[in-house]
Amino acid sequence: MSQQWTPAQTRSLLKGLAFISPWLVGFAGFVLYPIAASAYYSLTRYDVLRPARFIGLENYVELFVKDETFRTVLGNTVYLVVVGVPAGLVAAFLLASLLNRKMKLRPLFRTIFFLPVLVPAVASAEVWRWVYNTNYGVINSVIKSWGWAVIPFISSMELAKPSLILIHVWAQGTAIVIFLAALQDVPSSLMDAAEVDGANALQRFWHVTVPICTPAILFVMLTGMIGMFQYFTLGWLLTQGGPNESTEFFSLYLYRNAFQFFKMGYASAQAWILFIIILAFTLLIFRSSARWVYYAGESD
Amino acid sequence: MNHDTTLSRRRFLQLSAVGIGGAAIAACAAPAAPAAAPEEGEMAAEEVVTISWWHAWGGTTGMAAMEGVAAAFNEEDRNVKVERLHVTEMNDKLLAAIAGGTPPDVGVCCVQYAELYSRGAVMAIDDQIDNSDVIGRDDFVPGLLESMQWQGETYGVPGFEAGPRYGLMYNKAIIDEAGLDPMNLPRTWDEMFEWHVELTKFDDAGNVEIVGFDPRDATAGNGPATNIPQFWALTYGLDMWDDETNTFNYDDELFVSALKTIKRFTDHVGIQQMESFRSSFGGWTQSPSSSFPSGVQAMIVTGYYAPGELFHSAPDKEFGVGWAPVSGDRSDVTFQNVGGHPMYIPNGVTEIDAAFEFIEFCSEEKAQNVIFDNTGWLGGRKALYDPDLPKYQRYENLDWFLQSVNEADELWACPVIPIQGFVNQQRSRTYESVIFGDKDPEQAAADMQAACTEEMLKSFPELVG
Repeated sequence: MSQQWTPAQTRSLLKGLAFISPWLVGFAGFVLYPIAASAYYSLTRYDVLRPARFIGLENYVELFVKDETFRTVLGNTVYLVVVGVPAGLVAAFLLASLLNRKMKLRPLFRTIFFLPVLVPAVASAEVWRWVYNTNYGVINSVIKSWGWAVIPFISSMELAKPSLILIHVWAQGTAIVIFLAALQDVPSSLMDAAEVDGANALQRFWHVTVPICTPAILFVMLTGMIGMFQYFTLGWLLTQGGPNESTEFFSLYLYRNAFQFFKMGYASAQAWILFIIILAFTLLIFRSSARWVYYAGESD
Repeated sequence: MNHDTTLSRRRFLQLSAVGIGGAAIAACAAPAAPAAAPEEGEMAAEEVVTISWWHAWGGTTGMAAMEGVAAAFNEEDRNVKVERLHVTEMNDKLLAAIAGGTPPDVGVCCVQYAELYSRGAVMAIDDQIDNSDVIGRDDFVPGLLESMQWQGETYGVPGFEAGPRYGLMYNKAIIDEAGLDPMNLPRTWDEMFEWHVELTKFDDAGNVEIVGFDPRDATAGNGPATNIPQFWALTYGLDMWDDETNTFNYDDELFVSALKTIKRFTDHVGIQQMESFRSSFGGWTQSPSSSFPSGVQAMIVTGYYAPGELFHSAPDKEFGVGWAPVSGDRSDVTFQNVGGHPMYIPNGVTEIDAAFEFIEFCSEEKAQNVIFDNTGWLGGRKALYDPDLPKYQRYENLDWFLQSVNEADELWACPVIPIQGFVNQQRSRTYESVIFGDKDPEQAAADMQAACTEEMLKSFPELVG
């Protein structure tokens, strides 16, 4: 027997909608509309100052077929994700494991490792600019005083991306906190049982601690991957895409197209490609997670 | 009779909704009329128009100049007052403001002017100029006002920072130490390269200690202004932009030669050393930690603002200046370029007269003195280009720049290229692809020509002829 939609239910629905209307208006105006608009503009030639002109899929074709810089940008960004995300994740997990051990001054160390998260990006960039400076930097000053050739951290095409990744690894405070929470949930009974079975510390870490923490690892990996694909601030502040486009990442190039070249339609197409890439990587990671993520509550 | 006074939850919510809605409507209502009509004096006071002015210049000296100009304008007995706003990333914010219908009444620095002119984002002010008692078309150094025109209409007035851009400045101490004669500065790029070799120094480990000349510093290399990409073309006698047909001339042997020269200078230092040097010190002349003011770069091609900036950033050093080098076949040619930042009125502004009144004020001597005193910048008025004026003696070498405008064999104006931002990116890419060895100069020049032409055809197909 089908249920009838009563007038009372309609009134209740309307009241509910009325109460969440501030959020609905905000969502529609600041999320839904821009998404729809950017989808439309990606099919147009649009410079913001003149009316958009519909050109079909031309922007997408140009990005993949003609735009040499876009290919470089894709390569740079994928490098950043493929190298930077695992590097950050491993560093955060190992540091969290160390900070989870009983030791003196543990709260102090935890605070120190979380501090980089609290430092504004611009301040971080300035600090690292001086650390990496080839003439006055902390590292290169010492190297020069030994009579050696300096290390061109951010002025070399080969070292610029790894140097930016090193800063990313340094600022893993949020991931460390997540991993710390996960590590504190590792049942001591399992660790004891493994120890009784003769597992050494490394085996206990690899076969007990890591599997128990895989849901947290999945979360950090996903959010890290999404953030890394959108990497902008430090690249913009420290290298401006150079040298020779070696740190020209997706978001930098998107920004340039939108605001420096007045190609908002083209930039919109880039934004949608970025969305699809992130979606594909997310689905890939989710699909693979069935093989390596262990949820304690599951029956098998 | 029902005396039940309890309030159901539903009733409460309904009443609350009505109350909130009523309050919202009341908040949107027009303000109440004043209780009494104002007196005549009060009427006059109410007629004061306040305009908004956005500028991108900051820093200690720049901010002092902007604040000084606003204060000087506001202290005058006018019915127009100005509210100043320092805006970083001006291009992005101005674009959003114009698109959103909330632009400032007046803007200056540092946006891509040509893009705004050509897309109708700022208003043509020919009528205002023609009716002005303060600004005349012949008041400015030749070429300056033309660099603010697009398709025969004028979109800006030189106000804050405009003047000659190409002078070869050198550090006297470094030149003396190398035994070179500053009275015989290099005139051609071959001679310049000999100086570059003499002046560039390395330590035992191969780290560069002093760079003779960086072909990508200041007006020779980096920055958004149109006279920067123009430099290397002009030294070889090439006009890179044809404003009759709106086409580019980068696929030219002269531009290829310019690229080879850039690579030659870089190769002597080593691309990695040069990149590290530039990344470590920064360029131009304003910051004391930049390479030229800090005494680790011997020569730089830069503009008239450098003497004032160096006065502040390198007070303990002495500098000289002469004509920028040229190609071998132009060794008897001296050339100069003028350009600068226009003051403009975005489209959609309603207080146009008030906005233009402020522009007029900024172009006059009173405001110009405030700006010069704080920064050493000029505004482009011919009458103020007198090297003998006492105030110009404050900054060593400024007189050379002022005289160069009259003495140069060739005086070029900045071209107005409606895809300037794109061209700038192509310029950086072209220079880098050559010096990093990704492309040979011929290929890089051809690719730049193709990319700029294609972009022009896409953005302004109706103009390319």
